[in-house]
Amino acid sequence: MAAASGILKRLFTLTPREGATHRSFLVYKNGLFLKIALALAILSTAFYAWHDPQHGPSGNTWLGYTLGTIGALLIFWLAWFGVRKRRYREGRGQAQLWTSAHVYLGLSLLFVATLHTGFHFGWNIHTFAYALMVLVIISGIYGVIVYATLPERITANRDQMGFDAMLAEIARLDEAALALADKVDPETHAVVAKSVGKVRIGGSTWEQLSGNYAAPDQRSDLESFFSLKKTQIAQSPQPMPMRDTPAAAPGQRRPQTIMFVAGQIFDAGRDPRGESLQKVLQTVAQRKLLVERINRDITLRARLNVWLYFHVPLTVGLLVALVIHIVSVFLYW
Amino acid sequence: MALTLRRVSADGTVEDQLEGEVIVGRATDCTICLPGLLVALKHARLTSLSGSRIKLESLCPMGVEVNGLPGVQSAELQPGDVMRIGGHRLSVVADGLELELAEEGDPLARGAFRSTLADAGMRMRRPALWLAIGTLLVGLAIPLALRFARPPEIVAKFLPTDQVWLTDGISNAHQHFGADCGKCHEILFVPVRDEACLSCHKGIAHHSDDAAILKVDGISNRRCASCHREHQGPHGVVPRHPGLCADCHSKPQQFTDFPKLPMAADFASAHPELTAAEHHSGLIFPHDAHLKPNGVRGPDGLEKLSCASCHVRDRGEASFKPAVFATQCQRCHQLDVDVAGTTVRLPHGDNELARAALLTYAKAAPQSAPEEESSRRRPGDAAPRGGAVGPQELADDVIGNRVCAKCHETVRDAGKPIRTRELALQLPWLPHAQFTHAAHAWQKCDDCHAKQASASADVAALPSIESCRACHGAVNSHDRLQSTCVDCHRFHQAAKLVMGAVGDEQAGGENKK
Repeated sequence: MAAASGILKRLFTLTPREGATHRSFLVYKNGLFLKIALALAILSTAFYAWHDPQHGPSGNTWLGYTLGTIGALLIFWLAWFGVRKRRYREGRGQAQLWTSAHVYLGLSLLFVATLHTGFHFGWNIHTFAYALMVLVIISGIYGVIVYATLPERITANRDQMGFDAMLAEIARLDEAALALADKVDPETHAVVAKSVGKVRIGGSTWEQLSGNYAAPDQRSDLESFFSLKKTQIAQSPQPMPMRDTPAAAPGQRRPQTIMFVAGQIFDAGRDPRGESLQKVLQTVAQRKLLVERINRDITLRARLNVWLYFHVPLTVGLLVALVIHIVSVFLYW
Repeated sequence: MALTLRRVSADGTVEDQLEGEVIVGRATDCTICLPGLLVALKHARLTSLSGSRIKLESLCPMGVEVNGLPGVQSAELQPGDVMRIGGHRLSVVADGLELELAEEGDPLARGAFRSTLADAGMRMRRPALWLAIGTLLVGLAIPLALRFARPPEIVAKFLPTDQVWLTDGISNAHQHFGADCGKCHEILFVPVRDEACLSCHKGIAHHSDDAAILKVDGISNRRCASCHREHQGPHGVVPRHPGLCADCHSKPQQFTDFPKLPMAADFASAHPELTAAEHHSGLIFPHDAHLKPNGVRGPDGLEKLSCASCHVRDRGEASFKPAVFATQCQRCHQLDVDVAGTTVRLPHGDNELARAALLTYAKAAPQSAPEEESSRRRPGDAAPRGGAVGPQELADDVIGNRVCAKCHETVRDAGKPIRTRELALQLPWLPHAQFTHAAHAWQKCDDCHAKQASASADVAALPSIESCRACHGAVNSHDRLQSTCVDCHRFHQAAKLVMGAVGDEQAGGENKK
């Protein structure tokens, strides 16, 4: 509930917050288009309630044709809005105008088109067009909500660091870790290089949207390796052959292991290789945090944009279905 | 065996000859020195074998990616195999090796990653295109094509037909051809024509037998489908909205040619009183005389009659059977006539037969000499009626005055014998309505009819419309039966004229061009 009211508050903030220049497109010109859309919805409903057609309410009455015409014109116009409002050349004010009109008039379509149907639904092209319209509007509502809430979180997550800067930082940390690992021994270098190759940024559509990124099994490899390597350094200056490295226990969690390894390394810190090893560990941990942050960024942006992958194709389908609806009605008049 | 190393880059190809064992790695003393921190100092050893084959031994735990398989520690390679070391590509060719260094700019040679939905394969144009094409094919192109082409049954079974354009259910009456849209929608983009309806509904009665009425605007410019709207569900075709009738009948003043047209718009508030059609049955039947509260004198004493004594419902229960003399009248009305002292029982139902019987008995009677004038007669003797009493006169008297005429109106045509009028029972009292008694069977007769007061059979004791309104309300009533025009009336009520048969004079509608 609190989240919902927060979203609503954010959506309809009439006055910009102190110091912020942001003002929601939803309150453009004191909600001019909200008023227009409300008037349209109320008028449609009132006419529908008053109208008593001889064959029952349907799209096939004068009111039905009127609502249908208004609805169709709105759909074509709003689709054109969708193209138009992305031309930012007109300036911010124009973009706000188009967006505000698009959102409110799009919502009013729920009234106009539903009343146009006269609540006759079936497995036919007419209801298909209606269903597409409803899906377009639902995806649009999602879009409005995420546009009002997510950009703030994206900014907070980035912490004044651009996406490319984060990528560059990861590359820098990788390079640093490799350079440090090189100073320990070839074995450590090989393990770090392997982990560098396995770092995953982003992922499949589902991973991006859910935020659950499949982690490669490099963690346990690294953990067991660092643990072993520390012991070797503490006991003997001679590196041991790699084939003696025990297999990683499955399901081992990184944080505990990092603590463990860190402790072990502290003991081994007197050896210069131990110091390098500790730095490698720190670098890798830092990289892990950054990868998590960048994946969070990817998730937020995916959630911000995913609706368009439905909104736009469904709109195209809707336009085609709408034309077929109109043509077929008159084909079999 | 020497190997040829071909270094391929955008600037061209450089060839080197490598002798003996080849070490690949980042260290400067390697035979093939590769840049980048992902390459181990000593990464792998390559040994040339016979027949262009090369033996690979990894010198580091990372191993080498061979043909896409990472972490290979040792392998025997043939021409065509590809190794990847730290992002660099090293392929085995017929005479040696071919090396392509990793691109600059990504020093760690990390593969492409998917940081946006588009990278992850989400697309807008392709689904939009598929949705549009699919909708167009299923929703329009194929159904339309199937109107003109008939593919083999096995194919047609899986194709979308024009049923995808079907809105609501087809009425019960039309279900049996409902799958064939073209049966009614004969011509594309042309509203359903009356011809399509009349091809089955031949001879359906028109609204009136008066051709002038059929020319008025509300009728002549309507199509069948103006009133009968299909695709309204199982019972949708018979329109029930009173507006269809009230369009004209609420404004009779607009039709100056028909001054007698009463105003009717709504049963509860704007409907004329029930008026019976002019009625001439030929029967003389005083209801009041037969329905006396104390009863009437019958053969066995006083009998109480009720409506049902004479009015027996017909088979359809809409109306009543005509009264039958033999079963319903004769017990009391015996038709016995005294002809010259003989009691003759006349046959019923045939003027000629009754007259013949009278004449026969009258002629057969002995012609007694005229009695002497006497003012005295014995009790029980018939009183002298005076005048001539020949056979014809006797028959005329019995039919025209004494017996038949008690119950029947008579016809007296000059030069023809007097006879009773042909009966016209069962004439409709409300010819413009379809009243059925069956639906009202639970009511008592006198709930609606006040027949006791009537002295005639030809005066209908029609109920007042108020007695109807006790139960029947307007079409949108909430406390009465919702009653609409077609509950009692029919549009198609003419006796002679049929739809579509009056030619140009008559309705045909917008599409009769």
